[in-house]
Amino acid sequence: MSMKLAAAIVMLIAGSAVGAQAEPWSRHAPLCRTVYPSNQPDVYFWVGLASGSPYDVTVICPIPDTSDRPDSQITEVRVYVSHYSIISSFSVRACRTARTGLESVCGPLAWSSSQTNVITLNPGSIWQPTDFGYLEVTIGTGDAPDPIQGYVLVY
Amino acid sequence: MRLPSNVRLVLAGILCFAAAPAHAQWARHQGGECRPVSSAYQASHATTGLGSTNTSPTNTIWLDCRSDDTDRYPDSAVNEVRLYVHDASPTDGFTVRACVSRRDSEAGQCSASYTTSAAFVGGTVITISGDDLDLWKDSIDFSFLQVEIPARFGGNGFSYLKGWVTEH
Repeated sequence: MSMKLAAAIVMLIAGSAVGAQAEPWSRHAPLCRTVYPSNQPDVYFWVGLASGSPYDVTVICPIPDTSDRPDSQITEVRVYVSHYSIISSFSVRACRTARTGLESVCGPLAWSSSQTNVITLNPGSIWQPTDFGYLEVTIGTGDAPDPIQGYVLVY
Repeated sequence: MRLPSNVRLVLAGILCFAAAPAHAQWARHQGGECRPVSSAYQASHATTGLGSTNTSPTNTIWLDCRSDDTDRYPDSAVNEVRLYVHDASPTDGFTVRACVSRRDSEAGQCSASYTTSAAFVGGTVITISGDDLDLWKDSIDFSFLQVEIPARFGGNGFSYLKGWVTEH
């Protein structure tokens, strides 16, 4: 009987540990907003920029940040961009708005390669427990409509 | 099968540990997620790395900010909302309030307003709590925040809604 009891306890512990884990990823449509003062239209899901924009456009995309899944635990960001865009002109970086003071801080840029429509970013320590994290994407001149397809966060 | 008392104690402890939340529940949002209440404010609303701001030198703007409402963390269980702002105007302040759109009627309602004083300049936290969150207690309705950002003051006097936090 003691073996059965031990097995039951182990199963309970294992079960509670699995239940406490966050899902390893989340997936997001690009509900991004153009950064002032670019004077370009907002980039919403399925409603992108006019084809062949003559300007580089920078947008801010929200990052979920909850006690279950704090942004400080995100280890990888994958931004999917349109196949029809000139994807080598995309860049992405992780940023935060400081909770105290008037300051925003960004990490290094990640660039797209011409071989893929995915930009992979390691946010490092930019997203911290008390600040307000976001993703900054710069879309280069001449990119096609609907340039950002979405992004995936890996925890 | 009757378990020995010490084993029952261990099992009870494990079950309690598994059921208890690991820590306080919260959600955090960058201020740029908010949207103008109406198209009248669209032209003056700007999103920046510092949050949402008002570019108008003359008029305040009102923004809507969504609440979090899920089965696990319903907004009806929120007990505090904190908004982090930078008020650059020495003649006007921020105003914030908790609001609700009723699911089964045309009615909408907002709480009392919380403000920074007109003369205050600098960074501060505006906290909504207590009875003023009672509006969110009905679990079927749609809750949100409204924030008024002062007009820009002088050349560099932009005021910012940097972000907000809900605590359950």
